[in-house]
This record gives sequence, structure tokens and C-alpha cells, in this order.
Amino acid sequence: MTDRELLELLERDGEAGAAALQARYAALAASIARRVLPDRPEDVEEVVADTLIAVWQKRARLRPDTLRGFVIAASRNLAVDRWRQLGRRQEVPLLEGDGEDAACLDELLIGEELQKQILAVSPPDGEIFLRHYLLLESAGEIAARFSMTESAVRSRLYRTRMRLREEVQKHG
Amino acid sequence: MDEFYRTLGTLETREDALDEVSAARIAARMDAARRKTPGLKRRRLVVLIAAAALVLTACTAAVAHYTDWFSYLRPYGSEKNTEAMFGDMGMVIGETVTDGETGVSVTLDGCLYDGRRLALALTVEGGAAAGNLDGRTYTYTVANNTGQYLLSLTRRETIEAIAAEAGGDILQDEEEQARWMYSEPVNTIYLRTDEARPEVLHLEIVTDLQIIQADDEVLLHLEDLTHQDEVIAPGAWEFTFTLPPRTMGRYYQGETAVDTPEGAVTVYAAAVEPSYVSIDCDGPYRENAWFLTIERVRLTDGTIVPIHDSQVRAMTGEEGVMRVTEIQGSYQDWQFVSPADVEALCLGEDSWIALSELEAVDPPTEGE
Repeated sequence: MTDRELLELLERDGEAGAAALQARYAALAASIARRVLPDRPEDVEEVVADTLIAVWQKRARLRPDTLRGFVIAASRNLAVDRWRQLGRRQEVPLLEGDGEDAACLDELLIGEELQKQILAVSPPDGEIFLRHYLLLESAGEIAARFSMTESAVRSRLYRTRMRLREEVQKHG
Repeated sequence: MDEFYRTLGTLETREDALDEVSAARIAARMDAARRKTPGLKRRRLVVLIAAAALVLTACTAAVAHYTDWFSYLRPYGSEKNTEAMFGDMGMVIGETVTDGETGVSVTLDGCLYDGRRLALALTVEGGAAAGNLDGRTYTYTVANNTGQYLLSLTRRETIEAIAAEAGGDILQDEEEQARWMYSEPVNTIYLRTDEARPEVLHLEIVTDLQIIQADDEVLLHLEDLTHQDEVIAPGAWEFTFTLPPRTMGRYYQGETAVDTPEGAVTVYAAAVEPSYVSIDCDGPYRENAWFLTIERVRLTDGTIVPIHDSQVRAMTGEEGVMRVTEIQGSYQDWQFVSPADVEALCLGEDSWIALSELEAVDPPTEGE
């Protein structure tokens, strides 16, 4: 089933559409949520359910070419939201890694200006940024994908962070 | 924004499938949300999203700090005993069933019911559990390794109706089948030992109440209580009892504004239930992420009760503008709080909403 057919089904038959939506995107949402909430399967389930419910609620405004990206962004944000709540209660530790990176993950809100600036980042740094902060892939995973060293990925992430911060402040 | 989603959507990433139990829970929650939220209609009255019940399961680990089984007695007095617990809000059952083979006995001390959650007080004595849990807190979802839920809460008439349809006789197999069929995959048990009596276990069961209502006759079936794949209380126990009347909440409407650390918030309605609180409000919204939470409530005697797992349950509005959100959370440690005792809600730091600034209204009718 294509995303177009999925959105049409969601509109036409809520029950079948929900089942199809879950079959297609639950694993993606869960994979992203697990990166923020490892060893917390119940929280992951909740993030997945909230993500899919958000899709259902926004089905009229989503388009076939934006659906997958929406699922990624929503599951990432909901997972970080949940992680932040748990972190406040000190029930889960903050993400490992350098402090600034973790803080960026916590604080990073993908507003319109930032989206615009991310899209303007030259390859492969834009994709590296999206993979790390949206798909929540580790520097090691990204390094393997791009045949780089992990420290190179971290350097690129750092530079991109600095550049985006500057651009958003300038234009935001 | 669409361009951003398009770009993001092109990135392939690893996907790990969910197990069947998780998938079933998610499907149930989506189904509940779809039935309860017909589109993006703005709602002023606070309405329960059925999916919230499933949040309870997701919160399982979050109550790892659950330290005091009797904590929700506090609003009803200082006496730490189950009679105090059930005196105002439920009933004392006090029935004990002993498993003939193992000698493990389970006493159903009582239950509380508020329209969404059911808290059952059970005492388990004997068995492998006795004395082995050293007073620490354990969180349970009672399921075996195949994901079959070993705890079921079922309306007895549902079982009988299904059995009747199947041929008129309530055969054991059919009854069992009906029982599992209607088991809610969200039952969660919180368990701790009694520090004063380490041989005794106390359990609180929190369940999705979509299938049961006040005055229903409920069959509680417990089997092979398991912790980390180890059966700590082998045997089976069954109790039949009638749910006590629902303890009603207090409901408020009006309009009051407050500045919170996350931004300005206007509250239009509040529902204070025995086990949770929720508000309907305009609040800060940033693309697919909501940051506003109900952090705690203040009781009329000055007691502060933290809110556990506050979450946005519904949102409406237009892209890029303030959103109407419904936010709700349970009292920490699954306390039951007398709704009449709640005087203010805190949305962060010193941002308090005094309920007196809203108008008390009658309970919403079914479907509102």
C-alpha cells in the first residue's frame, strides 16, 4: 500500500486505515522512540500510539510525500517530550554523550526557520544533522553509513549546530 | 514545512518490528482515541480520552519509585489501614481464597473505582513470594512468556452472553476463551511487600475500564503471579464482586489566565477526579511537541500532591497559532484524592490555577 492509498483509507475507513497505518509506520516510530527511551518499552508504546493518533488527527492535512517525514518528526518530538518528563523526575538518565549534544537534543525545536536552515545545509552535513537529531542515530551509526570516523561525524555535527544557531538567530 | 517533511521522509533508517503484545496495546489505544476524538472538534468540556487508560501501562516503569502502598490513604486520614482507604470511596470485601495445591492465599481487601481506574487491594500470603522481595517496589504486568495475559477482569454477563450464543452451556473452555478474549491488555499490577510483615504482598491493579462500569459484577481471575519470568505465587484465584458506585469528580468551567514557564496559558475547564486531574486550555504548542504539564495540585489543607505523568491528550487549532490542549495527569503514586479537597493546580514553578477562579459545574454527561 502506498502512502496515498493509506491516507485515502484513513479517510474512508477509520478502522482499516488505523490498522494499515500501524502496520506501515509503527515500527519506524518505535525504532526512533527506542533510541531516546531504551529499556522503557511501555513508554515507547505510548509514543508510537501518540504518533499514530497524531497522524490520524492530521490526516486531512497530510500528503503522501510528507507522511513519512511527519511520522519521524512526531515520534522524535514525542519521545523527547517523554524523555524530558522522565528526566525531570530523574527516572531516566540524560542521554549519554557530550553535554552540549544532549542539551541540543533536549532543546532542539524544529521550527519553521530552523527547518529552512537545515534544508540549506550542504550535503552531507544536512543529512548527518537530520539523522542524528531527528532519526536519533548515533554518531557511530552515521559514521558507518558515510564511511567516516565517529569523531568526524561529531565535528560535523558541532559545526552544523553552530552554523544553524547563528543562522536562526540572524533570521529568526 | 512540507519540504522539510519531504526531505526527512526520504531518509531510510533501521526499523525494528514491535512484538505482538505491544502492537495489540497500540492498536487498542488508537482505537480508543479514534472513537473518542471525532476529528479536531474544539471541546470546552474536559472529556476523557479513552486512550488515557493505556497510558497507565506506559507508566509502569515510571512508578518504580512507588514506595508506599498506603500513600493514597493520606487524604482520608492518618490511619494507614485499608478500612480508611475504602471507608469513603469504596467497599471492604475481605474475601480470602486459598489455592489448594500451593497453600498460597489471596485476600481481596477492597477496591476503588472512579470511572477510569480500578484499584484493587490484594494481599498474597505464602508461596515463593513470601519474604523474597525485601520491601522493595516491584512493577508488574502479569503476562507469561508468550504474551498471554494471566490476569483478566471481565464482566461476568459478557462471559455468560458469549457462552449462551455458543450453545447455552457455560463450558469451561468457552468460559476460558471468553475470558481471554475480553482481557484488556493493559492491566498492570503494582506490588510491594509490607515492611512490617515481609511475608505479605500488597498489589494494586490498574486497569482499562472500557469494559466495566459501576455496579457491574466483576470476575477477577489471578493466575501464577509472575515477576521477571519467575512464578512467585503459583496457583489460581477467582473473586466475584460488584463494583462500588463511581466516586464523582468536581468539574469547573470559565476562563482564567496564567503565565507559565512555557508561555501564557488560558484555562477554560478543569476536571478533578479521584485519580487524575485534567484541564482544557489554550497553551503553547511547538511543532508536534507539547511542553505544558500539570505538575502538582494543592489541597485545601495546604498539602501538595505531585502529578504523575501529565500529558497532552488532545489538541486542536490551526497551524502556527496557540493550541487548545487537553492535559491530564494522575496523582503521583496512584493516589486517590478527594476531588473536593483540591483547590489549585500548578502548571509549573509558581504558576497556579485557583479552581475558585472557575465556576463549578455539573458533571459532563456521557459523550460530552
